[in-house]
Amino acid sequence: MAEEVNPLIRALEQYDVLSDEERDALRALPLRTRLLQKNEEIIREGDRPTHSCLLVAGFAARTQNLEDGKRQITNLHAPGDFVDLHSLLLKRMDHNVIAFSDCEVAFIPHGALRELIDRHNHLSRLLWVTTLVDAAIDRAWITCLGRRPAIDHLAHFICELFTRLKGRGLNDGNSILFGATQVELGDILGMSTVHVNRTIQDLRKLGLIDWEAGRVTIRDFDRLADRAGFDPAYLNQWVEPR
Amino acid sequence: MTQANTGTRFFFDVFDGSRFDHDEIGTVLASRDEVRVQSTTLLPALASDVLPDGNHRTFVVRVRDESGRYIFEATMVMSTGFLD
Repeated sequence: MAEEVNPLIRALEQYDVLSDEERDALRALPLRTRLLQKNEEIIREGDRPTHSCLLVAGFAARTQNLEDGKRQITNLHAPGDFVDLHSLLLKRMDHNVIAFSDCEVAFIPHGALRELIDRHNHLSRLLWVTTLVDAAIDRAWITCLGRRPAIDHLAHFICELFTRLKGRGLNDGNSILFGATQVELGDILGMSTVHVNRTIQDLRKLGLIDWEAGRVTIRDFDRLADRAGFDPAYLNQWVEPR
Repeated sequence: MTQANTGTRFFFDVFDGSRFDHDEIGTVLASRDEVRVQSTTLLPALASDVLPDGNHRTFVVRVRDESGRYIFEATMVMSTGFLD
């Protein structure tokens, strides 16, 4: 029984009920775990992975590097997320995935995943849901990057991250642990470091959040969500036959 | 909020045409040259944050070092108006 699969089970159970047989099939997946330090590469652009990587603990980031040394973080992943399920079908990675914090990851051979998908149609659809939700998050980020003012954008990011973590029981009341630097937040939000700093102070002065030593506390979720125009429907966090 | 470990802390005071913000927290930057980069990208971002009304608006960033001395200033003036 692989304990490392539990975050994945919790993630999938956000979308639909799993049978005992399905849970057992997930727990029987062969996996090799690794501990990674912050900023270590998990997968590099151009790789042709033979395993998919499940995030067990910590945060991972998808990054695209620019020619001038700048980078954009295009998505963040939480425990229970496959960071590269798409490599099972797309074969060649078109971006990097790095450890955004110290991480524990589990590598699962593509052969075993293919067998799981062949045997368990319902699990296969739920894994499909995870990639569709990833794409929905990408759409939300594009809209924020392109159209939302800085303060609404940051508010939206905090609402989304909190809601994603809460869906897996990874929140601590109104707080989440998120140890990002201002530079990293700038890479997520497409903003300069100073602008990020200023925008955090603006949200703090409005009494919406506190952000101290890697802990983000939401003072008033409804007002923050209202500020951000945040509607969690795109995260699909409800149980329904799928 | 954690900051980069190496570098120098600079404080970016901002006047957006109506409000003066004294930066009490500061930002750690890797080099003094970064002060210019940060200031020049901040100014247009401020302008789009406040969506200026009226025909004239001046945005100023003044940067202090850790000793409290002002070391850099950047100003952006936005003038708008219909031509007819």
